[in-house]
Amino acid sequence: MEILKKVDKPARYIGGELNSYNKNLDEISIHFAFAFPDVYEVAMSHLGMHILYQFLNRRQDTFCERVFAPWIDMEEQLRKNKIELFGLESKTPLSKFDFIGFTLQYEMSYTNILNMLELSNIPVFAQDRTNEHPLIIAGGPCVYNPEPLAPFIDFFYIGEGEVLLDEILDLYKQYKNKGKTKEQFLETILSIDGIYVPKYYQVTYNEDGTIKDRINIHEKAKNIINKVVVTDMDELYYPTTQVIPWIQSVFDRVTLEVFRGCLRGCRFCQAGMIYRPVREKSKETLIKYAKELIENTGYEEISLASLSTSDYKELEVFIDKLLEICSENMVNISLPSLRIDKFSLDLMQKIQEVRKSSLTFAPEAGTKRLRDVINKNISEQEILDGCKLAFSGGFNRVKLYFMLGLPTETIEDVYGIANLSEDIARMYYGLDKSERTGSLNLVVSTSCFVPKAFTPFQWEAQDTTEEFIKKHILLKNAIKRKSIKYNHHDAKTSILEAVIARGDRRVANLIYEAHKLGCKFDGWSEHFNAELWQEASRKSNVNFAFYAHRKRDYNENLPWDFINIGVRKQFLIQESKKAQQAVTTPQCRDKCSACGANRFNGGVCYEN
Amino acid sequence: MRIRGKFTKEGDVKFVGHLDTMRMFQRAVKVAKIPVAYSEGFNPHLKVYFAMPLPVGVESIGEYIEIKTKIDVSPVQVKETLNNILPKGIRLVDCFVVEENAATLMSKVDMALYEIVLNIENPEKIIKVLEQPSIIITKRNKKKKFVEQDIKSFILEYALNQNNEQIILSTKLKAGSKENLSPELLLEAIFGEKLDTITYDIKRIELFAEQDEAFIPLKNVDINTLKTMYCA
Repeated sequence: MEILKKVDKPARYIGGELNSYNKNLDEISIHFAFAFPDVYEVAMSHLGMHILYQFLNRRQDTFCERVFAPWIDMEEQLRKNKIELFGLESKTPLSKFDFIGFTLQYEMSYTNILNMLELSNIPVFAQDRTNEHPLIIAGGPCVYNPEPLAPFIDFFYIGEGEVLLDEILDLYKQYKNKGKTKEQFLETILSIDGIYVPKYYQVTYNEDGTIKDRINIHEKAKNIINKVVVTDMDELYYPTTQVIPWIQSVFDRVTLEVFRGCLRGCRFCQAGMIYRPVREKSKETLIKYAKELIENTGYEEISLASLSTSDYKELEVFIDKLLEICSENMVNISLPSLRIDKFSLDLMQKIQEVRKSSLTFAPEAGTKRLRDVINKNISEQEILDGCKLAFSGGFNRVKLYFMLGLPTETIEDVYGIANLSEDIARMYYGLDKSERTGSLNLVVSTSCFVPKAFTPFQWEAQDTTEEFIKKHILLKNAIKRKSIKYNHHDAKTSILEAVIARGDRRVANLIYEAHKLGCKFDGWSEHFNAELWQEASRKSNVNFAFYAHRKRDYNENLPWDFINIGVRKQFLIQESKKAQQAVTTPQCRDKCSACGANRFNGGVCYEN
Repeated sequence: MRIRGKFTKEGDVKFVGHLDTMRMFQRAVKVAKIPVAYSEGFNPHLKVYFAMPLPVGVESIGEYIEIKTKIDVSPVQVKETLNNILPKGIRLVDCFVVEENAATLMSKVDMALYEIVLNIENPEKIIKVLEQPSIIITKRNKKKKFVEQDIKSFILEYALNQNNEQIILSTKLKAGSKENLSPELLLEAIFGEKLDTITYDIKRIELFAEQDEAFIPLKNVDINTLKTMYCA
């Protein structure tokens, strides 16, 4: 491929890595492209991709290839030389595949999806595609509000891939062998739980712009789509190997998934709701996989993945056993997503993560009151104690993450971030010199709160750009100490994220116009172009304020109400009301709050 | 035990950079369960070494790797197990045991043979430049300053062949840590700015060590013949 001589990091486009697949195209029935709408290094760090790649390729009749968003220079070369976007493994043009499955990890990648379709010479609108085109499907966390992508996608898969992908592919094979049409296939899968075919529904709107009604225009189209989840985590397929990227990826290590879901119920967190209930793998299963993964990948580091690893029930026993295996093989353990308490710090000492000397915590809000509002149940004393333990354990670099613009936030809460940081710094310098290493390096980062679907804050108004900027300046001025560095996330991208995250079908026009204007890689600050998005907003008549800054009524029909995640809307309303009063809700293991996730008959709901 | 291997890097894998190729080999050696030795210290690393970086986009049938193992192993088996794992385009063609006291693989390299296929019709320009009494280029030195350099003495041999509409330039260039001329720099010296308009492919054929005033392929130096035979 001559064009690869002209692009940066050409190894992004060649495939053929250790542990990747190559199959004879004449010997397969289903050709599936797993599409991640971001660049190679980001995509290859994503656990879901690794799981589904191996899961699909374990089928003899299926060849799953990978395709990622080409970087700007590669796109230019593809267009100039009229080369269609291709699968990494066989270099087959995407338009020749049976399926292109996009994973929706973040809203800011949506323009890349349209761009990738365009680069494949595939019409972006589902209605313009024929039987000759691949089926364009989508899954991942953002499908819990699929509507902003409804016109582009043939069907959405709502839930965990391992549950139904085999069934769907088996059906597809039958349909393909009998020479049936795409339409017939889509009609057939309407009866499967978790499958949402957007073209069989229409939405009507009230005069004020809110949703009036959803009408299904196919007799088999269900009113409610239930998410599908795995119940037996020990029986669940998990790959014993992983493709080893050519280029160092963002996370260059092998990943072991410990459990799904989260006990905590932070009220801003979408993952904490949509992945309920918590379902753990047994430590025996984990050890078995850890051994095989280390053997088959040769990585120097194994990462334990979950939303809150300290909540794993038998963590200590498991880590002791894992340590034995790892030290034999010269492998380090990395534990992201730890809560900041004595237990976690002891654990980090044990696995010697200490030498990294940088520690990250996310108090999320600056005052106890606001942390109660968001149900992040941690006191100031616990934060200070945690930091103190960390400092005396040899850390001198600490990163703190906060969110600005949380519901009920006042000026005191914003100052609270500065005060808390100052308290930590003062505590550090109050320690005896023998207890600390050098000077403190405290990084305080704030992101802008984005209300998400299926959270107790889904009805909330987001701050405007002006409000966010005011708070940024306020904090910048309030944080004076040299040893504290303040960073903030750009407000404009967060507002766009909020528009799309709670968007309805009309927001698809915004994404389409933005794509036509050339927006891509919007999650990369160097590529995000706020003016182009403003122009797209005018052209599509999608008003950002309506979607981002408007407080919704509990009675309003929300675009995602037709999806059932298990957690009931009534529970979210109850949580929303408790938030207003700054009343916390205990985590699942302390006390069940009857959210509704027990309908899946598994996990933490049935532990006792 | 020190095991050296000669390997190829052909096809699309030529686009994988040197550091990425090294990381891949380190993982492959572990996956192949070769009892590789680790360095001492706080951050132990695998004792796997390479002879000379290969520029991105250049193919090769003459790359070298050295693996230090904790115990004696069969070089033939190392070759076979690794070849079962290695990505398409990367193949070990030969493996042998070297003397424990041999100098490092990297320090051995003195010369490299390249084959450069140029999509041009006429070799005149090449001959004209290469036959000059001196070939002066400007390049950045380590302090990032531009300096002039005569590369004539770095070009030890060259031959030209014509094939359809292509010119094949085979050339032996000084290589290694002392004196080194990269094939790309040679092409720049020959074609100047016009190089951007020419398409070409470069392949490294072999690396050589200088011994007793002769250049010997690396596959023929430092061999512990007895152990290579005994452990096979």
